[in-house]
This record gives sequence, C-alpha cells and structure tokens, in this order.
Amino acid sequence: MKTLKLAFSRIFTYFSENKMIFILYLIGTISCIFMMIYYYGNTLTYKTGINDDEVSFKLYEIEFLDPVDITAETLEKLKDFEESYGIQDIILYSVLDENGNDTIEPEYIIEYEEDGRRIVRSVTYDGSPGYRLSYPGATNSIILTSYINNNNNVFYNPKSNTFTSEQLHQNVLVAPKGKSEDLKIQGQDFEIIRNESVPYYVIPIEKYFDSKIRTTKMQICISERFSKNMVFRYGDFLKNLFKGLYPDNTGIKFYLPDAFYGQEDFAVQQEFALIIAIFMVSIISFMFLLKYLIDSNRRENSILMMVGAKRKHIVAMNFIENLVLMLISTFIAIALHALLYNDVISKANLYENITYSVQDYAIIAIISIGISIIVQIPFMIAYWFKNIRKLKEESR
Amino acid sequence: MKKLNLFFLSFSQSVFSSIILIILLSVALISVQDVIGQYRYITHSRYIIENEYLENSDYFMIDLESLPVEPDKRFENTKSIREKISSFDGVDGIAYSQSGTGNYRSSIVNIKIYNEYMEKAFGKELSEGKWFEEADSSSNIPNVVVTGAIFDDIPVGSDISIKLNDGVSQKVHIIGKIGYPWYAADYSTISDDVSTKNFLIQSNQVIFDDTDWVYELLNKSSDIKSLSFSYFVLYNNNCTEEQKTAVRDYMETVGTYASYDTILENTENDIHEELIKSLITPIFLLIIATIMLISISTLNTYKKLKEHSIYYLCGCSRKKSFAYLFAEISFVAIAATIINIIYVFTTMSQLMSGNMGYGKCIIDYNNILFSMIYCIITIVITVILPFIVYKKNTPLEIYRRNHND
Repeated sequence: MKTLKLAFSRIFTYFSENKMIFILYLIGTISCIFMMIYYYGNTLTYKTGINDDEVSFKLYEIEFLDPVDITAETLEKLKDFEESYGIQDIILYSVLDENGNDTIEPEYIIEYEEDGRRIVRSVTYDGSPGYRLSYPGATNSIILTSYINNNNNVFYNPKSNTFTSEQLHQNVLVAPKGKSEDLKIQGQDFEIIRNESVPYYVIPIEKYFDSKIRTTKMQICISERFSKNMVFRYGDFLKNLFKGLYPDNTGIKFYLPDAFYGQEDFAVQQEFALIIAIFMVSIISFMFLLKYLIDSNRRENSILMMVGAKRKHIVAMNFIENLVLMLISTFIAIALHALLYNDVISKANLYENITYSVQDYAIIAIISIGISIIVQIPFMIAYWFKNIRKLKEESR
Repeated sequence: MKKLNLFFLSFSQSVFSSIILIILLSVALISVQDVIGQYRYITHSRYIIENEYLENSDYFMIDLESLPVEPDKRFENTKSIREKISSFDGVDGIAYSQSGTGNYRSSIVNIKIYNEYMEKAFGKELSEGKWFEEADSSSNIPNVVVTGAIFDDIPVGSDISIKLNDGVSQKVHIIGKIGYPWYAADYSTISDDVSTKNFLIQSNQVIFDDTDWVYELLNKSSDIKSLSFSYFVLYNNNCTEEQKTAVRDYMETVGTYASYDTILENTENDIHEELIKSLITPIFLLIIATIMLISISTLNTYKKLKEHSIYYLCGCSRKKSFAYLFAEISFVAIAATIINIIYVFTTMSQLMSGNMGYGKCIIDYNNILFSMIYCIITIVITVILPFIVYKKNTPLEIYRRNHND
C-alpha cells in the first residue's frame, strides 16, 4: 500500500514537473488504445460479422451411398430440431438416368462381402464403389433437386423462392441455363418454367415426393450459424437420426461445416497477431516518454537507495508507475470510446452492427496492459543494472 | 563538417527511437501508396469504361455450366449465342475480341483481334498513335496496337516481327500504343457484382484489326479462337425498352448480364467500401506514427535544451541553434520519405523492365508527390510543439536552472 501511495505521488510529480511530456505520453497511449479498439472491431472477422450469413457455415450435408426414400418420419424428426433451433431450408438431390428414372442400371451395381456381410451397392461410372453424385458429368445422368421450404433465400441466384404458390402443385421445373427441353421424370412430364443460374434441375417438393424419387444427397441449411461445439452436437444428432432410420445403409457420409470454422479461427488468430504487433510497435515509442519521466526522478531514486531501498523496490515502483499510467490511459480510452460510440464512432465503422461488449473492452484492456508490460521489460532491465553512484551521476 | 558532426552526435543520442519511427513511418507510407495505387486503378478503369459507346450497353456473361464440355461444341455454342444476340432488333453490335499467343523478344505476348465495336468501346485506352479506323490500311503489313513493358521502348510507326505459335515470324506495323500502366481490355470476369475494375489486365499485348485477311493470316499459324464467354452488347440509339427487354430475357436463359448503370454503381461501391476498408491499417499506422513523431521530437527538444544553452553561451545564435533542432526533427520524416521514394523507384524500374506486374494497382512517379506532401505537412505539424518549447525556455534560464542544480 505504501509503495502504491509512493507510486501515485511520484506520478503526480511527473505531471507537475513535466506537464508537456506527461500530457504527450497520455495522449499517445490513449490514442494508441483508442485506435486499437476501432481496429479490433473493424478487422476481426467475428466482430465484423462478415461470415455470419455465409451459407457455408450453416450447411450440413448427408450423402447416401445407396439412394434412400426420404420419408415423412425423417422430415418430422428434422422438424423437431427446426422448432428448437431453426432450419432455413433442406435441399434433396437425386440422380436420374437420361430417361428421367432413378433406377440404377445393373451395370452400376456391384455385390461384395464386407465383415462377413453381403453388400449391394451402386458404383460410380468408372466402376469403383462410391457416390454417384461425385461424377455428374460422366454420363447423361440428370441431377434433380427439390427444396423443402421452396428455397428460402438460401441456395443459388436469385435468392428468392423458386416456385410461386400455384407452381408448387404443378409439374414444373427450373432448368439450368442453356437447357430448353422439357423433362420426363419417373414417367411424368415436367415443363420448364424458366432458366436460372443453378447447376441442377429443380422441381416442387410435392412433386418430388409424389414421384417417389430416391434421394442420393441432402443438404440442411440452418437459420443461424452454430457455435463450434454445437456444430458437433448437431452432427451427432444427424448421425444418430439417419443411422437409426436407415440401419442397413452402411454408406452414409456426413459433412459438417467445422472446416470453415477452423479457417475462420486461423484468420482471427492472424488478425489478432497483426493488431498486437502494430500496437506493440506503436506503444514502444511512447515508452521513451515514460523513460524520460522516470529518469527525471533519478536523484530521488538514488536517495531512496542511499537510505536503504533495495534495487528491486525501485524497479518494482517504476513498474507499478507504468502499470498505473497504462491503466489510466486504458480506462480513459475505453470510457471515451464507449461514450462517443453511438453518436460519433459507430458512424465511422466500416461494417454495420458492430457492437462492443464488456468482454471486448476487457480483452482490449488485457492486451494493452499486457503489451505495455512486455514493452517496458528492456527499460526495467536497463534500470536494474544501475547502482547508486551511476544514478547520482546521471541525475546531475 | 563541424555542423554535420554536431548533428550526428545529437542524433546518436536518440537513435533507437528514431529507427523505430522511421520503420513505422515507412511501412505506413508504403501501405498508403498501395491503397492510393488501387484507387488510381479503379478510377482509371472507370475512365476507360465511361464512354458514349458503352453508355447504352449490357455486359453479358455466358453460364459456363450450360456449355458442352467438348471444345468444338463449345466453340459452336458460343458462336451461335453471339450470333443470336447480334440478330436481335435494337442491338448495334457486340464488342468482343479473339485471342491467341505469340512471342516477342523471347517473351510470351497475347495476341488479340479487336472487332470494330471493341475498338470503339475501349477507344480511350490508347495513349499514343491511332486506332485502326484512322490508320492507313493499304499496306500488306498488318497494323497493330501494342501494350506492355516489352514494347515500351518501341516508338509508334516502327515495324517489328512477332513469332507466332508455329515459329513463323510475322512482320507488323505499330500504329498505336496503350502506354503505362499498360492496362488493356479483359473479359475474363464472370461475376454477380462486376465493376469497371474487372475489365482491364496488365500484360504484353499485340492487338490486330478484325479484317478477313488479317484473321486468315493469323489463323494459319496461330491458335486464334473466338471463345468469348463474355462481352459488351451495344444497343443502338433507337433501341426501345421492349427491344432491350427481349435481348435481356434471352441473355438470362443462357447466362447473366450486368447493365452499364449497374457496373458504374458497383464501381462506386468498390471505391467507397473496399478502398476505405483497405485504408484502415495505413491510416492507423500513419496517425500513430505522426503522434509519435510529435512526441519524440518534443522529448528530444527537452533533452537538448541544456546542450543548446551552452551553444548559445559559446556564441551560437538562437536561430542557428533551432536550425539544428529542426534538422533533427525533420530527419525522421525525410528519411521515411526517402525510403518511400526508393520503394517507388524500385517498383517502377521492376515494372519497366517487365520483371514484375502490379495487378489492379497503378504506381508511378506521381506517387512520390504524395510522399513529399506528407513529409512537408508532417514536418510543419511536428515542429510546432518543439518550437513552442524552445521559445518558452530562454538559454539563460536553462543554464541558470541547471547551474543551480
């Protein structure tokens, strides 16, 4: 407590004896922290929210090695989840032959034994076991899709509903650009209503179920991206659900968006490193001002040492002074930022809806104080090697 | 010499802080140069695209998914789409080019054949000489317009030989040049939010006129292909909205399009959003570096007052004494500016020699002007505080204060 009191009184002395340098130090450190707060909010990916609406973070894919009948039960189970967390849309994929039927030609079926079980499986067109959708261009196959929620602003351009309410009950389809001929699907005629920038044909969901087409792939787009832990929990939910529904289908593959989260984490780490590096370089120069202020107290330090103060006490006091000054600067910068945020700073933001929570301010405070401690280490080491005589000489 | 020694002696006392400042200022200035270069590129591309011929046009992009995989079928398909669009009422023409490759001075050059609409649409590119329409075409040597570092030293009016793909040399007559920064038309973009910055590319190019005899000549020994997946569709002045809608409806069935107004709108967004975003780091560095410079200069002035009071007592005038301080203060800003000028010169010499490209950015000797202006402004701002400090403390007062201590 006594050391703290002494440190405060010495800070007051710095101010009264070297007003200009003291004020410059405060202005410098405050502006550094202030700029860092702005930089933090406007560059860190998770603060700018640029990935929040990215479909790739919200897309969960299930591939069936053997095509399956997606039943009402499956959809009901998925809807249970929708009620809790919200599903934006589900897209179902099927592969049809050139005549519009989902029958798998005999040459595309192989039988083999695995773990003592006889397995019948469709094959890719090069003859190896695998997923038919992997090679859509290899034959004259047709890739057909359908949206459970009529493409609720999720997939492809234009981001709007694919069919009108009347069309949802008709034999109509949306074709990829450049395709102009109507299609026959499972024996029924479907009329092209328009061409869009979609890679596959799209039919209304009612007609998809009516045609009893088996599904090869399914993509679920959730309403809002999950936290990283929730991604795996939802992945487990899907695995249990589909493995329970199709116990004989050993070839179900699940693709979670966890890789995108990993990439985002890496980007955030890099952004953080950049912020820290820039802040560190910026703050070093202002430490020269602090060194000047501390050096102006050399005479007092030498007297303190003469009357019995140990070197570590002097260094500790200098350390505390720096810490207190940095705390003051951090507090002022954060207070200014918070006070001016709504009226001034938010207007200068590069992205909309950037908000700063108490946690963000705490992170910034920890970074700035932590860096100021790191930066002052060389100055403290230099001070450590000064004896009374040197201090006395330098004070003259 | 004595003065210089005095300056270096004084500078050596604050060498560490000065080096940090020089590094920070140099990095800030170089990154600002980069953003300025991007801004200049976007405005240059807007200047090229903003012209009377493109005012009434749409940029069309074929949906590649809709095209057959086989090259011959692809070629036929793109050709039939182009012909179909050209045949619509209200369409004046299509500004497209055909491409191939050749060789000049052991470097690969792009060969382009511009049709008459292409020449009009990108007419503002030309910085020297003339386009084919105004040139004398009676000679049997094909006229060309060239661009790129490799052709920079060749004057307009010269004849050069270009090696075509089968090794045959073709003599060409240069009638015009697209000068530095050597950005010529490029249609490779297929995007929802296409802007003017997508239409230019920096490369070595030889542009030929689209006449039958030139086409035949090149086609004999080069791989000229009309595989244009995107191009500008130019409407005539009498084109009605209904006619335009009919063309656009067709374009929608085989691809997408961006109207001229949309392209300019996207360009404005690019300027306002993207550039401002890329400005954060340089501006952050520049502000901090300037505050630092002011602080360190004031600090150094404080530190040097004692020495300068002695100089004064030894006969050095106050004016001269402040001149030394001023030199020290300016040194950091001048050093950072010199580093920046060296950076611009090095980049320019590399660009001129063709050893490097500077995509989507224009950097030239004008950038030095920015460095100079920044340097002068910074010195003026930086010197104010030290000057006040110096004025406030007379040498005698300082001497007495130190003497009493």
